[in-house]
Amino acid sequence: MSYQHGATPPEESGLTLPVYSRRRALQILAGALGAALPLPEAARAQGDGGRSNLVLPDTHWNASVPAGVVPQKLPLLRLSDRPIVLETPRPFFDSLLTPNSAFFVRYHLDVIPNAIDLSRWRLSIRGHVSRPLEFSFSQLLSEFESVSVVAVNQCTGNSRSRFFPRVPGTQWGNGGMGNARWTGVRLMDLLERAGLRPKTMALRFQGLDSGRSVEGTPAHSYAKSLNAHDPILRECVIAYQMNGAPLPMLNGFPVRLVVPGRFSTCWIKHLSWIEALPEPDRSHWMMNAYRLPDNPRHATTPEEVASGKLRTVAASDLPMPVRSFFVQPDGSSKLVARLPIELKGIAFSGSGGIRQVEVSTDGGRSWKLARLDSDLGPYSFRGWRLPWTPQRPGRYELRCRAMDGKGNVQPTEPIWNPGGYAWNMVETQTVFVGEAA
Amino acid sequence: MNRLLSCIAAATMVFLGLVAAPRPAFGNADGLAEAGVYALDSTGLILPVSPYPGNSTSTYSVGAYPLAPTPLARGSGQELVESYCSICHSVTLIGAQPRFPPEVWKKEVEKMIHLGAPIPAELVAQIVDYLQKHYGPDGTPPSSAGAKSNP
Repeated sequence: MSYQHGATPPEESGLTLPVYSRRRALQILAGALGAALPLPEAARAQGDGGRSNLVLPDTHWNASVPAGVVPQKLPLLRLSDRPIVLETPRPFFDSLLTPNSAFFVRYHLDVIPNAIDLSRWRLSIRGHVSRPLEFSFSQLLSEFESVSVVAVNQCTGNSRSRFFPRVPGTQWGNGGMGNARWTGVRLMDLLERAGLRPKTMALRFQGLDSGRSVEGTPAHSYAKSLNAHDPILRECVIAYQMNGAPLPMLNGFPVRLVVPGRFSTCWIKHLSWIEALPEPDRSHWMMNAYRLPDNPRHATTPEEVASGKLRTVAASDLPMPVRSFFVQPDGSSKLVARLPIELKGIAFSGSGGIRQVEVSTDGGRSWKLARLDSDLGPYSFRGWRLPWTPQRPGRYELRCRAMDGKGNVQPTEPIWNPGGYAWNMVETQTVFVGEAA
Repeated sequence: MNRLLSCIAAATMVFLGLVAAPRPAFGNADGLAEAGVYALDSTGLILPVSPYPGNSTSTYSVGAYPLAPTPLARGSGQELVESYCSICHSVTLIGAQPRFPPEVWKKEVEKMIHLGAPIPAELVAQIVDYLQKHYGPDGTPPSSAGAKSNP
C-alpha cells in the first residue's frame, strides 16, 4: 500500500486538492461515456458509503497482484503468467541499477525461448543492404569494440492503471521499468559492415519470441522498426551483458537491442534479425499499436479518438518523457514527529538527463531542490535525496517534480490516451507522522 | 516427504502441450532449442530457481515457465472464452482487467481477432456477451470467482 489520492477530502488534509476527487472522476466520466452510462450509475459513484461501479485509477505504487516466481528471477509481481509479464516491486528501486533478478519482464507473445543453442544462433542483417551478414555470438564478442551505456528500460504502458477512464492492457503500477548497465556492440558498427543501401527507410528488428496464431497475423511475431535516419541509431547497443552478467533469458538472452532514452517497445529481446527496409514498416506493431497522440503531452480525449481526427506518432520514435519517483518513504509505516529522515528517489528522462528534482512536503505549495546523486549518464536513473524532519504529527502529501536537460517539467494534471501510454504526472506520496510523545 | 516428492513429480508432469515449433517470420537456423514450454504451477511446487546447468555445452536453458491460471467466472460462454482466448494467452489476463463498459469489451474482442485470434464469426457475439456480463461494471467480482474454485 502506498498512497491513495482522492481518499481524503481536501479540508481534512489541509494541504491541496487530491488529484482525483470523486467530483473530478465524475466530470471525466461524464465527458467520456456521456449517454452510455445511465445517470443512476454515475450518481452511485459519487455516494460515499456505497460500493462504486466505477473502476477508478489504481493509485498503489505497484500493481496489487500476487508475486510469482519464474526462472532466474526473485518473486516479482505477476501481471500475467502466459505470456510472462512481471512488475518490479518498489524496494528494488533503492538501487540505481536494478538487479537482473528483479528486472521487470514483458512479453507480447507466449512462445518464449526456454533454451538457446549458441552454436546455431546467429544475428543476421539482411534486406536492403549491400552485404547480407550473419554474426555468431563469439564474433560479436571478438570482432567488435565493446561499449557500455546505463539506460532506463521502461514499458510504454508503465503506470497504465492510473488512466481514467481505464484502458485495456497490462495494468502496470510504476514498476514496469528498470535501469541497467548494458554492454555490447554498437548497432552502427554492424550496419557499417553490412552497408545500408541508398534510400533505406527503416530498420526492422525481430527476436526469437513468437506467438501461436497463424503466420502472417500480428500475434504470430513481434517486430519493431526504427527510422533509418533516426539519430538514436548512433547510440543503440546490441547488448550481450546486463549489469556485468549474461542477460537473463526473460530479459532477452543472448542479445537485446538497447535504444537509450526510448520506451522498451523497440528494445527487441533475443534479437536475431535486423532487416533494412526500402519503405516504411507498415505492420500492425508500428501502425496500430504503440501510437501516441502527436502532441507534447501525448494527451487526448475519448471524443477526439471517436472523431477519427487524432493524429498519432509511433512511441518508438520519441524520447521518454521526464519522470520522478519516491522510493523512500513509501508510506508503509508512520514517520515520527521531529525524527529526521531522508526523502529519496529516482528520476529519468529520454531528453538530456535530469537537470533538477524539486520536492514538496506540503502537497505542492512550496518546493525545495533535492540533491542529485552521482551521474551515471543521461539515460540512467538519477538518484536524488532531501533531508526532512516532520515537525508535527499529521498527514502529509509529499510530491516530487523533475526537470530534464531540455527544460521539460512533469505535469501536475493527468493525461489520457487510449493506449494508456507515456504517463508522467507528478507523483504524490502520502505519509502519516505520529506523535513522538 | 514422500508425499511432497510425488506432488512435485505430479506437478511437473502436467505439461499442457504448450510446446510450439517456433517459426519466426523470416528465419532459418535460429539456435532456438526450445520455446513456449510452460508447466502448471497452481500448487506453487515448481522450484523457483532453475537447477544448476550441470554441463558446459553451448545450449543455455531455463526450466518450464510456471502457469498460475486464475479461473474464469462461471457462466454461459465460459468454455468458448477458455478455448479461443487461451490459444494465445492465459485467461488470467481477462480477470486482471478493470471492469470495462460493454463497448470496450466488444472492441477488445475485435482487436484480438485483428491480431489473429481464430474465433469463428458465429461465436464472436457469445464471447463478447460473456465478457460484458461477467467482467463489466456489474459482473461477478473476479476475486470471489477465484476464491471459490481455489480454496
